[in-house]
Amino acid sequence: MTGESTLRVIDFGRVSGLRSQTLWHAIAHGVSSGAPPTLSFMLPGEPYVSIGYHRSIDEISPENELPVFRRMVGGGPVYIDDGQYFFQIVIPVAMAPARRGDAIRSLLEPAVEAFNDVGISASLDERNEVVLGDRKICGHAAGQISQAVVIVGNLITRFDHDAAASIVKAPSEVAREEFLAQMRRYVLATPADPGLFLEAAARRYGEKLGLGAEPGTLTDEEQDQLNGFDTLFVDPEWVDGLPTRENGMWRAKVKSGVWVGSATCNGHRVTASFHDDEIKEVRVEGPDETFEELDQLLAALAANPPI
Amino acid sequence: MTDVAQTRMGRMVSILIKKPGRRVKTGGSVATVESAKWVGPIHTPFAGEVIDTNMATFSEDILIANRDPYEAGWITVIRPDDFESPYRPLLAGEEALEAYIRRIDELDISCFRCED
Repeated sequence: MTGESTLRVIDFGRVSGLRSQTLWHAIAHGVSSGAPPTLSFMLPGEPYVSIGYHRSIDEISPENELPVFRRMVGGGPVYIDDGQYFFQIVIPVAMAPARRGDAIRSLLEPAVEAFNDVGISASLDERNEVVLGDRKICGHAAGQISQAVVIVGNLITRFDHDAAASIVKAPSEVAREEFLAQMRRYVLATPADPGLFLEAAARRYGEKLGLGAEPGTLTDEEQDQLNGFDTLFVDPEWVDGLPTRENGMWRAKVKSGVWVGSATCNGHRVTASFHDDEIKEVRVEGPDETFEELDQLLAALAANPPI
Repeated sequence: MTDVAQTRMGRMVSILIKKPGRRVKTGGSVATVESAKWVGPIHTPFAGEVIDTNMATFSEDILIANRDPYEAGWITVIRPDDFESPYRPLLAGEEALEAYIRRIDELDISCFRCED
C-alpha cells in the first residue's frame, strides 16, 4: 500500500477484454475509499466493443459478433483491440478542477506531454481531443465513478479502421463507406513503445499532481470490487442498457467536430460528412441527386451532431 | 441542479433519472448526466423515495437544465424518509448563502446559461 503523497502506478500488462474494463472501474471505487490516486495501464488481449454509459446498444451493428461491454463513462460505441494500449488516471473528486471540461483538459495534458516525450508531436486541440496535426491519435472518455474522477485514454500503436467502422450500425453501405473514409482521414495510429510511454506518463502525471510515482497493486477491497464488476459487465441487462429515443437520423462521430450523418426523405437517403459545422461531402442515394428537400435535410443533419 | 452544478457540467447531452418508486440513500445518486464524454452522478442529500421525475421534459429538450435549472429543468422529486432529520446536515437562510458563496469562490465558478 502506498501513502497519500504517492501516485500508485499499476501496469496490468495484457489482460482479457473484460478485465481491460473492469479493472479501472474497481480502482475508481478503491480511490473513492481512500486508495491513492492511481495511474494504470493495460493491453486488451482480444477485440471487443465498448459502449458509453448512456448509449443505445442499437448503435452497434447487428452483425457484430464481438463481446460488448458497457463502461461507466461517456462516449459512443468503439472498437478495441490489442493495438490500443490503455491508460487510466483515477483521482479523488476533490483533486479535479470543478468544471468538467477543465478537468478533462487538465488530466489529458500529462498524457500529451508523455506522447511528446516518446517522440510524437501531439497536442490538445480546443475540443480536448489529443491530435497530431488534425488527426485524432488518442481515444478518451471521462467521468465520475463513486467519489473518483476517471480519465481513460489510449496509445494507438495500430488501428484497424475497417473493424472500427464495421461495429457501428450504419443505415446504408454508402454511409458506412463515408464513415470509414472519414475515420481513415482523421484517426491515426502512432506506433511508440508502450513501455517508454508508461514511464513518461507516470513521470508527467506525478509532476502534474505533485505526487511521487510508485509501483503498486490492487487493494483487497479493489479485488472484491473487481469480482463484482466482472459479473456485472457480462450481465445482459447491464450490457443492453435502456432503450433510447430515435429521431430518425443516423450520426457517427469520427472525432470531436468531425462526424457523418445520414437521413431519409421522400425515397432519398442523404449521407454527409461534417467538419466543424461545415458540410464536406454529400452523397445522395435515390432517383434525383438534387431533390427538393435536400437543403432542409442537410440543415436538419447539421443541427443534430452526435454526442 | 443548481446553476453552479449545470455550469460545472457544461452542455448536457444525456440523462438517466431513477424512476418513481426507487429508493435512494443519503448521498446516493438519483441520476446520471453526460456532457462531452463525461458521465457523472447527481447526488441526493437525504434518503427517500423517488416520486416523480422530469424525464419527459429532458426527452424533448436535453438542454433544459442548462437554461432553466431552477424551474423547467428540475430533475426529480423525492419524498424524504424522515421529514425532519434530513435537513439537519443542510444549512438554511443566510448561513446557507454565505457557505455557498464561499464554495463558489473555492471552485472559481462563474455561472453561465446555454442560450441555444
